[in-house]
Amino acid sequence: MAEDSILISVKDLTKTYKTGNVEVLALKAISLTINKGDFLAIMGASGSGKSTFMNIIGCLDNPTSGEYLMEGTDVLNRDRDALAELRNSKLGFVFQSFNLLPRTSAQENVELPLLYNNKVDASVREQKAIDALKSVGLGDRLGAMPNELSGGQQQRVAIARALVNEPIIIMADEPTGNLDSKTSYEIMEIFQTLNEKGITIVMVTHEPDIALFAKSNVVFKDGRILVNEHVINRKNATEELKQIATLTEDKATT
Amino acid sequence: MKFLNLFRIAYRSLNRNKLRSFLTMLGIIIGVASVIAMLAIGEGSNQTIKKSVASLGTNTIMVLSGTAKTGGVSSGAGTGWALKMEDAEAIKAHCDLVKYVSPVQQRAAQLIYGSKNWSSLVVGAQSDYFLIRNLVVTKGSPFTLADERTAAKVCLVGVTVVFNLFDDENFNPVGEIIRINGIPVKIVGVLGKMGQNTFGQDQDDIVVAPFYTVKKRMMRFDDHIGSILASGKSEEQVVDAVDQITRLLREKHKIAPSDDNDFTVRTQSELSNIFGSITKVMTILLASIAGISLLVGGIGIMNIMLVSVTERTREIGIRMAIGAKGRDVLFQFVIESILISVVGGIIGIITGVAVAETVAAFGGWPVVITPSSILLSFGFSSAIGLFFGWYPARKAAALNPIDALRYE
Repeated sequence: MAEDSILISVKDLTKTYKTGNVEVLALKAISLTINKGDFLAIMGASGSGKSTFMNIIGCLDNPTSGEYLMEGTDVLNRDRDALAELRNSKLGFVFQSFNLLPRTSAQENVELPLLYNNKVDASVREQKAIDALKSVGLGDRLGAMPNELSGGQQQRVAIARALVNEPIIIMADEPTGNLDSKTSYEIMEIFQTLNEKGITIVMVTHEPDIALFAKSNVVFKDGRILVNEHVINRKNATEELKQIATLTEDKATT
Repeated sequence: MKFLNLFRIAYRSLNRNKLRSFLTMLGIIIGVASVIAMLAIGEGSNQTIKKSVASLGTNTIMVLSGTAKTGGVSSGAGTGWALKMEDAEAIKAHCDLVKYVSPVQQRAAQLIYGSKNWSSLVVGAQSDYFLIRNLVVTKGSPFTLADERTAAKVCLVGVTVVFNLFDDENFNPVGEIIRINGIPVKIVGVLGKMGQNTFGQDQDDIVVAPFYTVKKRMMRFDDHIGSILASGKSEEQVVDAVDQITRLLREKHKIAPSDDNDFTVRTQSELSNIFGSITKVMTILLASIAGISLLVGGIGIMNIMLVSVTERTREIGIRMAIGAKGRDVLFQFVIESILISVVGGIIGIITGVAVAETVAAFGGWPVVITPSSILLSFGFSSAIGLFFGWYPARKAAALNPIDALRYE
């Protein structure tokens, strides 16, 4: 595989947590490469180290040792501010609990990353936020507060917020954990569309059926990668949604 | 980071939590308002006292005879016979720091007009007396030099006397003849109303007549005079003028350096100093109460800011995850607390002025709002906002994004 198609490459990544006198090895020498345009689902039981791994490649946390290259450049050993800038310009985050600012309209929530971005001019800020919300199908709910939105809608606002700075990679930490299956499929539909446009997606999930929407799956166990494989029977969210629609129609007619 | 963006972030955050912002502000509002109102009321009372002391004439010098001693028993200041007319003339001639000089001879006397009678203080003095005591003649005119020389039977009366003899304060008694201790005297003028002095004495219950009229016609006539009233060239030189008079009189009275004066020189400046220190104590007292309330307000700000950092840990985590740097969070919290204290300070100033004006309108208490009190309280509230906002802001900025995000 060509060198410039590799987006993220980590080598011998370890992470140790200290709780009192006990040292917990959360990651044991993880090595992994993520290519541009990939859609990776990270699976594993709780405590397997998948979230820790996600936080490290999301530049929210530093590993104890190892190597981490993003687009060929070293990410580690940068200071907090440099990491913040990196998160702002290259990464987009989607969380299980949506993590929208309360009492703040959808549009203002989406504007937030732009306010922390020096390169974005005030004149285009509003339009960018509106465009991002339109791209996730919320063009008509710009002024809605998070508590006026359903879970799926809140997650779509969060995706719009992750998208607004035009990141190269989206990190999603159990994005469907709080959603029902139909809404989960809707979120997967958005992810697949974004992925087709060339945005790399790394998603942590513990639901095997959600992982099937990704291009490849990585399974963590006890701080090590157990499985790293391509998804063979990859599901298409649009198709799945159509199926659900016909199923409910059938139920309604019978 | 663009400052404008941070300002917008801080403003939105305050706007989202209107109640919390208002409650935080309340501490500063009350602190600033109480400082301004208390200092205004304190300063008002200060100036009132000063004015009433000044109406006594802080410039005034009083020379009293020394103590008369009868068989070793002192009778108090002014009872002796040491001062003579020539002393007053000598002061006028030789003391260049003294502007006006008048001998004074005063006594209580019974006044009669028709069927009315009234007891009042009759002051015999020269025309300088009016200038020393800042007396204004509202009706008629003061007595003339000729009146003084001839001991003419003329006098000027205060409004209390007019009211008691003629039933009406506004009656014009010029030209009427009243009897003072049985002697018929013509009223040539009425003195302007002076009201009560600081001690509650009615300053309008007075009759002023030429010195010799009182001395010769109403009292035993000899060379002695009760007291001398003088005024210094300026308030600052009163002390020097007192020295000058003292030296002159000691020389004239041939007092040996080892002996005590046979006269006493007094000034009102001592009195005004006492009142000055009283009002200073009052102002400091009021200011410290006000300062404490500002401090309490400041601690209120810090508490709410600290609580809000804990309460908003998750929000800080979200902000950091999407790219806020430590200093962005720091500045956000500092701007929030400065906004709160500046807006609170402005509302506090308006409230304080309103309270002070209300006290002025209803309580009849004079208030003086000084720019320095506004500046002080406003500056202090901003400083408190910065100081007490800084600590929680530092705490927020130092948070680890992951820990902040996981916080429940």
